Amino acid sequence: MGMNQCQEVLRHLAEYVDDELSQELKARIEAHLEKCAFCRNLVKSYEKTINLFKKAHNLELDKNKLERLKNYLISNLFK
Amino acid sequence: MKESPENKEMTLSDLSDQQLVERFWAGDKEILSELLGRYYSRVYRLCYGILRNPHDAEEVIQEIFLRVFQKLDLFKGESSFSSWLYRVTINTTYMKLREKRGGDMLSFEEVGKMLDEQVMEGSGGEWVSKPDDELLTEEANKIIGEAISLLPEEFQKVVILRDLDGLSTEEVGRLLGLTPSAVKSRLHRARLFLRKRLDDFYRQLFEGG
Repeated sequence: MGMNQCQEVLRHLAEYVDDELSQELKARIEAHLEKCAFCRNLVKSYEKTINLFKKAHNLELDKNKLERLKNYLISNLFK
Repeated sequence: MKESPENKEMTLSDLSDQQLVERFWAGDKEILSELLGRYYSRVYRLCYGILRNPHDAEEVIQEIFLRVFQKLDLFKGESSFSSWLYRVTINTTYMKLREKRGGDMLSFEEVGKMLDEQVMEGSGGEWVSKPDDELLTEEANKIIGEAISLLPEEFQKVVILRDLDGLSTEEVGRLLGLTPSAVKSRLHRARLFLRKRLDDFYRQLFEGG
């Protein structure tokens, strides 16, 4: 396993998971991932992190807050 | 816009942001509701993502929408309503954050150094195979919040706009005045930082070490 290839995966991780890489680079990274458990795990943990970050902010719409905001704006804007 | 029979039949939800903005000063409260309906949740998530406190987020969101609606006549439609709203949101929320916070934020250089030293220590413990529901405990939520708070603003803004709000690299670049490659590199570092924090936390939790 070449450390250089692992470094390459690390360097392009964001673009790889966001699917912003050229075909060629993407194929090279995928070929490396097939051979390298360390990098596979890195990719997985990176994607997992993004998902958890998103889910932690999946706030439900609080209708009371929205109503309070609306009333606040109406009383301040339409005098 | 002239009122034609066709227009009368259109509902507000058919109108673009720009059309709503143009009609706003007719004093129509329905337009206010429509615009809030479109943007409230997104703006709230940004405010909360930055401030990490529901009370502060609610306070600042009042300021943001009041400012935006009061200044609608200055809005020339050169950029879209949504980018203008986002710009006001970010500026106002960070102003609030600076008022409130102590000196517990890392510097740009510190984050870079930490990541260079730590990232390749381990590529992810056994937690990566567990389902999200099992992972997303209250404590994990806290770890995520603390990690985001520690990040310098330059990183925070990018990761919040890209990953929470789902804006594209280009949109974030335009909003923050950054090149796409600067957006990508900041996003990457912010994600790595968050990943490292979660990895440490879950290893401790599941593997006891």
